[in-house]
Amino acid sequence: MDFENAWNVVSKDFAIFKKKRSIIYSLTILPAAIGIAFPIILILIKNLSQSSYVALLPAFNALLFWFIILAAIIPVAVASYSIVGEKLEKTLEPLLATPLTDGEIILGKTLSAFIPSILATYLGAAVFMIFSDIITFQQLGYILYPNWTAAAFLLVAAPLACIFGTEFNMLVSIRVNDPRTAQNYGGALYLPLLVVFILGEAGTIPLDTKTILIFSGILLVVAIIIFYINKSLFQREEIITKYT
Amino acid sequence: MIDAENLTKKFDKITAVDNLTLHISEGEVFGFLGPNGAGKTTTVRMLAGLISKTSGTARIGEYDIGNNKDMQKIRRMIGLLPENVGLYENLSAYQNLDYYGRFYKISKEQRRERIEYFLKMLGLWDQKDLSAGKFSKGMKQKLAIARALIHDPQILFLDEPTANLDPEAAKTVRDFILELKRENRTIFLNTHLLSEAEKLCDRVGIIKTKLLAVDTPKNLTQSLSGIKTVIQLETINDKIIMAVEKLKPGEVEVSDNKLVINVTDPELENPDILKAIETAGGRVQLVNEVTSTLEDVYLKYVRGE
Ligand SMILES: Nc1ncnc2c1ncn2[C@@H]1O[C@H](COP(=O)(O)OP(=O)(O)OP(=O)(O)O)[C@@H](O)[C@H]1O
Ligand SMILES: [Mg+2]
Repeated sequence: MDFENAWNVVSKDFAIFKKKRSIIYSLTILPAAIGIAFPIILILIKNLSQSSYVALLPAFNALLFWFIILAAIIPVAVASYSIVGEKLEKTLEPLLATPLTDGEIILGKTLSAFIPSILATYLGAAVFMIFSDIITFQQLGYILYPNWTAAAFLLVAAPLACIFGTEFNMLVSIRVNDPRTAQNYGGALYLPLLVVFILGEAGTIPLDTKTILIFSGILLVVAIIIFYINKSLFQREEIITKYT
Repeated sequence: MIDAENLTKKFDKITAVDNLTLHISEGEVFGFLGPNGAGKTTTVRMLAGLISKTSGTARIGEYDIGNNKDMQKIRRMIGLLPENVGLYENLSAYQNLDYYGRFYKISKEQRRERIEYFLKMLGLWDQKDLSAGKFSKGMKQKLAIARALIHDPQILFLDEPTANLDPEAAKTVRDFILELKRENRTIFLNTHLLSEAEKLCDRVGIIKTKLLAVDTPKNLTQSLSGIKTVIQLETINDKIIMAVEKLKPGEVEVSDNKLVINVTDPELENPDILKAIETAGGRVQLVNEVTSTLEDVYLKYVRGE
């Protein structure tokens, strides 16, 4: 594995993303909107239910879980482009004639979707935390975020969810030819994560640090499995004879 | 430099290339001719290690195709212009080339030098910062050729390099290929243009799933019908015909006021023939040489005549 080669793929993809405004928009709009909308929702709930922010603290954490979901679904915007895009432009044949290996291609494509996706997630989470601090500081008397729970959510679970989302989208885009189809399948990811969220809200499972760490462990295992599936599915011959 | 023995490729039930045996030496420009679906692209893809072979062996230099360790060495030795150019349309011409250069560990300085050299040579330097998507077909084709050369490969596989080009752009590309030949690169050229093959190639192969013929364009055309010298005279009479028949018994045909004579070495035989005609009192108006064209040869083979 030559990391320079993988990084070359990443920086080429970044250069393309920079020129494709639609990719930048789809990366940033959702996280930023959620980051702003959530604290507003909390203010509304508080005012309606007349409860204090102290009583609402579990709800803050539940909203933080949304950034884990977000981390898993944002890569749809990027990962579906990055392999399907190469297929559409028929760039894989000359690329595969270079010394670049399959592992380097998969790693490069994983990173080029992971890096902007996780940054976009953090952007949204930062907005959320800052707004939350502003609205709760007076009542709580201390700064709510960052805290250890947020660290577990954002520094452990979110990156793993993002890798998982990236690998899953790659799996889809190796098999299909149209970015939109890839995005539709990629969107299906949302469902299992949503189930975890609903179970959390319903109190069936607590959305605390321990649960999140267990959940992260599961994500990690699944992500590693999908990485190897991707490597085995990335058959040079099939890709060249089918898509060029 | 390129050696294939009984190289075969089957796709499910279709045999695309059947027992191809071929030897191409260093510095040779080899033209691969054949109708659509003849297996030209499939052959190039096998030799470039992009698809597996079903059976047979092939070597590039001293390395085996299909052996994973050797493939990395082979990839550094070869440059490929695929049938579809496959450029990144959102990236500039310069970025497209630079991206490929990095995979061969060429220093930044050297990449810049080579990109400038090739783009200038192909007349694209002024457009180096333009997105490849804005290029015309011909410009894209040239850019893709430059990309195949970025790591200075000894061996080039060019799959229909002048397809879709206007006559002038096609000539630029052909001149460029001749320049590469002068640099002693080995070139494997798939083409449908017989005149192109005749101009550029040291040898040509005609394939239709099986390899039907391989030789120099000259030998192929001569083997079909030999060489004929056509001599147009003011008037023809028996004395002249007999004088020529005496030199080339059974090789002379007469039509109107023309003599058509089968020769093997025109430069050696023509002066004697002309002398005999003049001695017999004939007055020569025109002397022409007629050979079959590569097209005649090609059609004969692919039609299986
Ligand atoms: N991926 C594939 N699956 C099945 N058959 C294939 C595949 N690729 C090529 N073939 C078949 O192999 C044969 C040779 O195709 P190839 O592309 O090598 O021909 P070619 O000589 O390059 O033709 P052209 O002049 O049109 O480019 C054809 O019959 C084609 O249908
Ligand atoms: Mg072809």
